[in-house]
Amino acid sequence: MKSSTRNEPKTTRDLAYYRQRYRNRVFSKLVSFIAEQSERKKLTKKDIAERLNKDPGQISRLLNQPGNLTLDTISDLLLAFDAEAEPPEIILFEDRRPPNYMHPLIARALNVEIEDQLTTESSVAAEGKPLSFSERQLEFEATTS
Amino acid sequence: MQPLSIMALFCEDIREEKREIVTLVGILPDSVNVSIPSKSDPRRADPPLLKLAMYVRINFDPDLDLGTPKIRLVMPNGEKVELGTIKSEVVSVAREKAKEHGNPLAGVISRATMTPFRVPKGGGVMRLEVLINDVEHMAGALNFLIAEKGESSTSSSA
Repeated sequence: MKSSTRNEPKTTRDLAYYRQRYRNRVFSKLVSFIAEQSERKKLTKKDIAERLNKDPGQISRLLNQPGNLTLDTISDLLLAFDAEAEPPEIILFEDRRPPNYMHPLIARALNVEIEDQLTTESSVAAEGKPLSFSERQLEFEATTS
Repeated sequence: MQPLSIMALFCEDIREEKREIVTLVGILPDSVNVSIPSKSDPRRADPPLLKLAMYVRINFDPDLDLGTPKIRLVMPNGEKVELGTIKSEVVSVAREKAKEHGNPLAGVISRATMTPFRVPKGGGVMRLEVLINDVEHMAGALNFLIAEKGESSTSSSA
């Protein structure tokens, strides 16, 4: 995404897309960390709530939707596990890795090494059992088109 | 013309906009590469967790009886995960709306999100199936390709 003029305003769609994308990434990393650490240290939401002097329902709400998180609540949740987050990595679009759906022949022609888009997610994985499906948050909705 | 069409998309998130419009964020390709640390890496562990959203659209002849379609995931190890059932009332309303507006096809949309979703250990193909009158229809499939860091990278294709 590049501006054709010096101060061309970003579209509302772009703003909304990148906001949601960033929220999802932070949420995914945080939930992954909390799930792994909770399992390893045998902690429940009640334990986390007690450490933060909050209501367990409040912890559930925070971990249900990316939109419920703020920088302060992220810091609080990490502190409950005696952890903190490093500042986020900032990257220019022009420095981004190529998308992983590039066709191998095109990649070869452009001499580009294809990497996957989920690499950063795996760096937080730690030892532990996979979550059972009952522990997952599943939302389902059906409407007419 | 086929009276029934079922399609599923896997994505990072589904956002509701105004006027019954939804935005699909980060639609995944058919095959997704997932890197895990190599065996020698002490951080080696299970594949990562992520948020997975599924968008399923069923278009059908308004005169076709769909019953109560059931939507489920079939994991690479064969485990079946029920996502939900589309109520017969929703199907009826879709059918009536299509007839009222003179649309050749009625439509039902269902959305499901799983948070967190763990990538299946060892990877493999995960299928999304829709059961209509006990007949399985494969609406979509997502292939997880697990690679250890340091191995030659593979590509994914849409």
